[in-house]
Amino acid sequence: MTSRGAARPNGQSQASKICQFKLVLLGESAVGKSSLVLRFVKGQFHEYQESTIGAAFLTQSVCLDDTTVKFEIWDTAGQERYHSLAPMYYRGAQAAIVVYDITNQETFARAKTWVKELQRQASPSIVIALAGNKADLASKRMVEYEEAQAYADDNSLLFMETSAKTAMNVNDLFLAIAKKLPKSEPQSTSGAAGRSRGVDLHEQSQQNKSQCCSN
Amino acid sequence: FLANRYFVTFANYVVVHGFEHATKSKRSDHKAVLKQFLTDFTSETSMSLALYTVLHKPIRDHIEQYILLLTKLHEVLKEGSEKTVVTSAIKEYVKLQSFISQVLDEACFTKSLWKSLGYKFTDMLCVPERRLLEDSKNLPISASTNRSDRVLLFDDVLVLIQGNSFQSFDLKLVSFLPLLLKYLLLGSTMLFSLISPALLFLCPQAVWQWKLNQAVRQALNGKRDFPLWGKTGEGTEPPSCRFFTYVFRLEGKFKSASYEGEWHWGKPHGKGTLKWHDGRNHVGDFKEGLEHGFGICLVPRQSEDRYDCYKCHWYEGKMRGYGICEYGNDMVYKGYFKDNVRQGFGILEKFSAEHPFKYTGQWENDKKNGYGVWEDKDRGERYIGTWLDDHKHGQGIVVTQSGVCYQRTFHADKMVGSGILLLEDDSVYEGNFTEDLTFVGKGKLSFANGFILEGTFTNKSGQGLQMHGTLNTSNEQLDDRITKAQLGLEEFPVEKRWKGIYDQFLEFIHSGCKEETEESFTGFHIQTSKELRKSQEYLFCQRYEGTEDVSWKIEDILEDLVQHQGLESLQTYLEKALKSSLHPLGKLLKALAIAFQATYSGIGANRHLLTMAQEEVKYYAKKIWEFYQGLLHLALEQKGQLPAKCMDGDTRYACNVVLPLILPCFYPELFMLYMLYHEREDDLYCQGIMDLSLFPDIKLLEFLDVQKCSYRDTALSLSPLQRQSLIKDKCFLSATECLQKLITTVDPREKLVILQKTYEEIESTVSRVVDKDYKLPMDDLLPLLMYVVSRAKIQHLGAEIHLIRDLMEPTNRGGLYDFLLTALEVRKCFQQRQLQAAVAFLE
Repeated sequence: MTSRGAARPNGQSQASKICQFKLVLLGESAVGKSSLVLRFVKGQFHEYQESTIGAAFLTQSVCLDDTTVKFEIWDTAGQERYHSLAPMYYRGAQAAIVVYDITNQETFARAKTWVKELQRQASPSIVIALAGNKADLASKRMVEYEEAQAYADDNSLLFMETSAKTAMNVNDLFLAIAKKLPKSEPQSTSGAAGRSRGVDLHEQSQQNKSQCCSN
Repeated sequence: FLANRYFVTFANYVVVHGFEHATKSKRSDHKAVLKQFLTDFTSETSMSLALYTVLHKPIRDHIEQYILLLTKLHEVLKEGSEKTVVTSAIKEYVKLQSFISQVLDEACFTKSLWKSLGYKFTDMLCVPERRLLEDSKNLPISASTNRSDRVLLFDDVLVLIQGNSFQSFDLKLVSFLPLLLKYLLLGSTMLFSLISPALLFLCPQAVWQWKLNQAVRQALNGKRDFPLWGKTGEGTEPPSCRFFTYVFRLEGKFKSASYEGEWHWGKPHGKGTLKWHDGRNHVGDFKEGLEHGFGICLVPRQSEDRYDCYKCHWYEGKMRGYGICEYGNDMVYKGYFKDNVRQGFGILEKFSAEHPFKYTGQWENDKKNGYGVWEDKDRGERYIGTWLDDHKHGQGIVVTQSGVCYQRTFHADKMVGSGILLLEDDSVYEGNFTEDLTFVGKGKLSFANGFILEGTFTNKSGQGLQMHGTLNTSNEQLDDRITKAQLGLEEFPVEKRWKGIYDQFLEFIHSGCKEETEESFTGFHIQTSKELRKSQEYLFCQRYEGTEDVSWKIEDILEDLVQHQGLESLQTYLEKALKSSLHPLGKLLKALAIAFQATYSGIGANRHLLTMAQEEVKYYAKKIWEFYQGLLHLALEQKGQLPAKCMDGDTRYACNVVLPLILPCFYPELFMLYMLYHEREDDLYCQGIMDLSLFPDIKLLEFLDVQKCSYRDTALSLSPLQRQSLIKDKCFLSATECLQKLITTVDPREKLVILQKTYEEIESTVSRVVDKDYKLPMDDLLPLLMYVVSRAKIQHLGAEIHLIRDLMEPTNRGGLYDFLLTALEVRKCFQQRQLQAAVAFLE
C-alpha cells in the first residue's frame, strides 16, 4: 500500500512531470494484441499495477529522462461484429498500435484498413505504430518485413516486428511511441488529469487526498 | 412580659389596620376638602381645617403615645426576643408616623398647587388620587428655562405647561419622552420646541432627572415608595425595556396606530403588535421604533374583504430579505423583498381555478425582470426566458404539453422575427410562426425522413395551410445537430441563471453570517404556508428548536466547518449539511432544486433542454462548493486563522465532492431528460434485447461467438461441457445482477463502481470455469459483456451511459472508467440490423 502511494503521480516530486496518454490497440482477432500488452505491462516493470479490466484495459508507465509517460491502454475487439464500436475507442486517443500477425497476410491487409481509418477519423496528431507480431514464428512468415517497413514509411508510422512470446521489441515499441508523443502539449490537459487522478474518490487514494485537503 | 408582647403585636395589627383606614379616610377627607375648594371658594377654610385636624390628629397622637410607650418598654426590657419584637414595633410606628406626615405633606403640596393653577388646568388635571411630586417652580430645571414654562411631575404623569396650554405624558412612557418630543416636533407642533431632551434629561439639576426616574419606576411598579424617594442610593433605574400599550396620536409612519409590546428607550423595540384602524396590523420584531426582523403584516385589500398577508423580514421599517406573501387574490409569493417591493429571486404562484400560473425567477422593482420561468397551467405551456417589466421580452423558449418546443425572440409579450420550432416527430421548422403554431411567411420545414420543404407559407381561414416553395427529397438523413438541437445555451449562459439565489447566499457570507440575518438571506426552513399559518406562536417561540439533534446555529456551523476539513469528514459533513433544512448549504440546495424543478419537471421535460439542465446541475455543484469555501473562509477568519490558500483544483472538488451529493435532488428530472434524449436509440436497443430474450442462454452464447474464443496465445477454449456449465450454473447471473444495480443508484461514481464490479464478476466467472487465472482480452470480453447486457435488460442504458459520462469527473477521460463506459456501448450492437438477421438465422 505504502509503496504504491509513493509511486502514484501525486506523491512524486514536481521535478518529474507526468504525462498521461490514451493508447488504443487495433487489429484482427487473434493477432496477439492483448498478449503484446500483457507482456509490456508485466514484463519489465514490477511496480504496482493499477486496476485493470482483464487484458482489456491496462496502464503502464515508462520513464523518459525527466518525464514519466503513463499509458492508458485500451484493447479493442477484433471481430467484425464490433467494428462499428471502434471509433468510440480511438476517439481521444493520442497513440494507436495497429497489430498484425506476420504469419497471416489477411491480418496485414486488415491492419492497413485500420491505419486508413485512423488517419481519416482519429485525431490528426495521433501517433500510429504498426506492429508485426509473432516474430518468433519466422518460419511461417507470410508478411515480409520489408513490405511492412515500406508501408510504414509511406504512411509515417512507427514500425517494429515484435514477439509477445519472447518479449522481442515489446518495450522498445512502447518506448518509441513514448518518445514520439508530444510531451509539452498534454501538460495542460493530461497533466491536470494526472494530478487529479490522485484525487479520485477511490479508497486507495483516500490517504493522499485527505492530506492535500487539510493543508 | 407575655402580655406585653401580646399587646404590642395586637396593637401593631390594630394600628396597621388603623393606618390603612386612616389613609383612606384622609383621602376621602382630602377629596371633600378639595371639592370644597373647587366648588366653593368662599367657604370657611377653618371648618375644613378643623375637620382635617379632627380626622388625623388623634391617630397621630395615638401613634406618638405608642411610640413613647414602646420606647419605655424597650428601655425596661432585657436583651431577648421580646426586646427585638419591641424594637421592630417601634420601627414600624416610626415609619408609620413619617408615612402619615409624608402623605399629608404631599396632599398639602398638591392642594396648594391646585389652588395656584387656573381652572383650565385643574379641570383637566385634577384627579383625587394624583399627587404632585415636584414642580419646576420650586426646583427649577435649569437656569435658562423660560419662566413661562412649567414642568409638573405628578405620581402618574408629567405635565408640561407653556402659556395657556399644556401637554401631559404618562409616566409609564416618559423615559422615551425625548422621542415623543421629536415626533411632536415633526408633527408641526412647535409648542414644545423649547423643551429639548437635554432640558429634561441632561439638565444640571440632576435631582430632577433622578426624581423623574424614580417616579417612572414607581408608576410602573404600580405602588408608591415609602419613604417617598426611597433610601438614598437605593433608587433603582427604571427598566429600559418594558411592555406597554400606546396609541400613536402623532403624524408619521405609525399615525393613529396602536402599539402593544416591548419598548426600549422610548421606542417600540422587541416584540410587539402594531394595529391600525383600517385593519392593517403588524406583529413582529421592532427595533428602535421601526419594524426590524421577522414580522407578519396583514394589509386589507381595498375592494374585497380579504387580506394580503406578509410573513417576512423587515429592515429598518421596510421589507427586506426573504418573505412569503399570501395575497388576498389567491396568489402567493415566496421570495426576496427589498424596500417593500419584490426584488431578487422569487416564486409567484396563483392557485385559483382561473388562470393558474407559476412564475419562478428574477424580480426587479416588484416586477418580473430578468431570467425567469413562467408556467401557464391553463395552456399547458412553459416559457423559459427573459422578462422586462412583467412582459416576456428578449430570448425565450416555450415548451408545450404536446412536446413541441420553440425558441423565439419576444418583444413585450409578442413574438417577433423568426424562430426555430422543434416538433415532436423530429421535424424542425425554421421561420415565422404564430402563437398557435401555424406557419406564416418564409420558412423551412425539415422532416425527420430528410425531406426539406422550403418556401412561403400562408394560412387563410378555411383554406388550411398553403405554401409555395420547393420540396427537397434528396433524402439525406437529418443531422443529429438539428433533431437533437439543444436550446438556450447561448441565450441563457448558466452563470446568469438564478443569480438572485446565489446573490443572497453570498451576501449572507459577506455580511458575516450573523445568526439573526440568516433567515432573511437564506429563507425560512419552514416553507409550507400551513406551518407558517401558526405564525403567531411561531413568531414568539424559539425558532431554532429543530427536530434534528444537531445544532445548526450559525456559530456552531462555522465551528463545525473548521473541524471538518479533511476530505472524509468533509464529505460526511457536507452530506449532512446538504440534507438539513436548517443549514445554509441545505437551504441553498433546496432553493436550487425548486428552481430546477420549475424549469425541467413536468412539461419542461423536453429533450431539447437536456444540455441546459446538465450544465445547470454542474454549475450548482460549483456554486455550492464556492459557498462552502466562503463559509469556511469566514469561519477561519473569525477564529483568527489565516485561511489556507484555496487549491487550484476547486472545480475539481465541486465535481468530486459536491456533485455526487447534490445529484439525488436533480436526478429524476435530469434522468428524464436523458431518457427522452436517447429515447430512440434506447428503443432500438430494447427491441434487440427483446428479440434476444426469446432465445435460450446456450444459443445466445453460441451466437455471440463465445465458443470461438480459443486462440493460440490466449487459450480460452471452452469445451461444450464448460459452456453447458456456464449456463447450468447460471454463471453470469452474478454479473447480470450486479449490472442491474445501475438503475438503482444515482451517483455516477457509484454507477462506475458497479460497472467495474460487473467486469470483475465476468472475469472471475470465466477464470472459475477454465480453472485458471485468466485475463480476458476484448475479443473475449465483449461477447460476454454483450451477453450480460442482454440479460440485464436495462431499459434506458443509453441514457445511463450518457448521464454517467457527462457527470463524471472530466479527468477520468481516457482512464479506466471511461473505458468501462465505452465498453458498455456494446449496446449499440443490439441496434444493428445484422443482429436481427442473425436472430432470424438462429430461429
